[in-house]
Amino acid sequence: MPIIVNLDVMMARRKISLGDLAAKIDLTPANLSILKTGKAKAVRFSTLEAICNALDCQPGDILEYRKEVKQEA
Amino acid sequence: MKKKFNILCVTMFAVIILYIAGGFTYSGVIAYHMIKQAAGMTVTDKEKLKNDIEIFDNTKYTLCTVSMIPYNIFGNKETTIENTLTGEQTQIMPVKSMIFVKGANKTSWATDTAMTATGLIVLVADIFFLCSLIMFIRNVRRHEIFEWKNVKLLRRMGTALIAIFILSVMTEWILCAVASGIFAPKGYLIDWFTPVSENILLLGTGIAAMIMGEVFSCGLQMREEQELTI
Repeated sequence: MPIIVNLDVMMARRKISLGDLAAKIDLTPANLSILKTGKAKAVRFSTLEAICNALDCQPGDILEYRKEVKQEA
Repeated sequence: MKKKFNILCVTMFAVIILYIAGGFTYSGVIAYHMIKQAAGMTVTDKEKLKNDIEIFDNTKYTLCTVSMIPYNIFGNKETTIENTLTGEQTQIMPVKSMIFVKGANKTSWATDTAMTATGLIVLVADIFFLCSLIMFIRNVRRHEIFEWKNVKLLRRMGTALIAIFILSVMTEWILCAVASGIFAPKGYLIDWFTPVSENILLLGTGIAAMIMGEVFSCGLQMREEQELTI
């Protein structure tokens, strides 16, 4: 998927665990794990706002766009 | 909701049983009349019958049933039949009739093999469809409705019905081709369209099942997106 979630990078910088962050933003660890591992299909703005508030960062620090390069045969 | 679902399932199976039983009932009625007729026959009649029955010997002759349509509607006046209510000969104009055609020689082994093979494949497809339907109904009764396994079952049912349609029409068209090679009735055309019209419901139902499968698939994708929206 072209949208890369760099939540694990920001969590490591802020030295916060998955469980602590989930508790802070009122999300279940399971859902946060889905987001962290890139399996999520969409993110609500309210969730993004909560994460950026908890990790003191910008949305661009968490979400990255990487264009898919189609390999020519 | 469950009561309505159960009633519809029972109705569905009743229709399937009726369809299968209908064929056997028709054969049973003919057999009954043949036995009744044979019981009242003299020895001479039975000898004559042996010669008549020979035409149904498919080890010697080409036999096929086809539908005929008259194209010379105003010219075909020779057909008469006894009206058992009045005892008189009545003129009739068959608009569409099924006939047995007897050819000079037996059908080729290739034709026989093709007919047997398509018949077996249709039987397998019928069983496959029924098993898929039973599994689908079982899943719904277990409240496992919007699952990917049901999407696969619906697609399989649709594919089976479409395959049965194609094979049934092919079988009938082989018979039409065989009949066309040995029989050209005056004032009648061999009807190539009736096999399609008789089986068109199978095609429609098969496509409907495929559409339902795609609807379920879209719904499941939307549900997944919803569930994976954080």
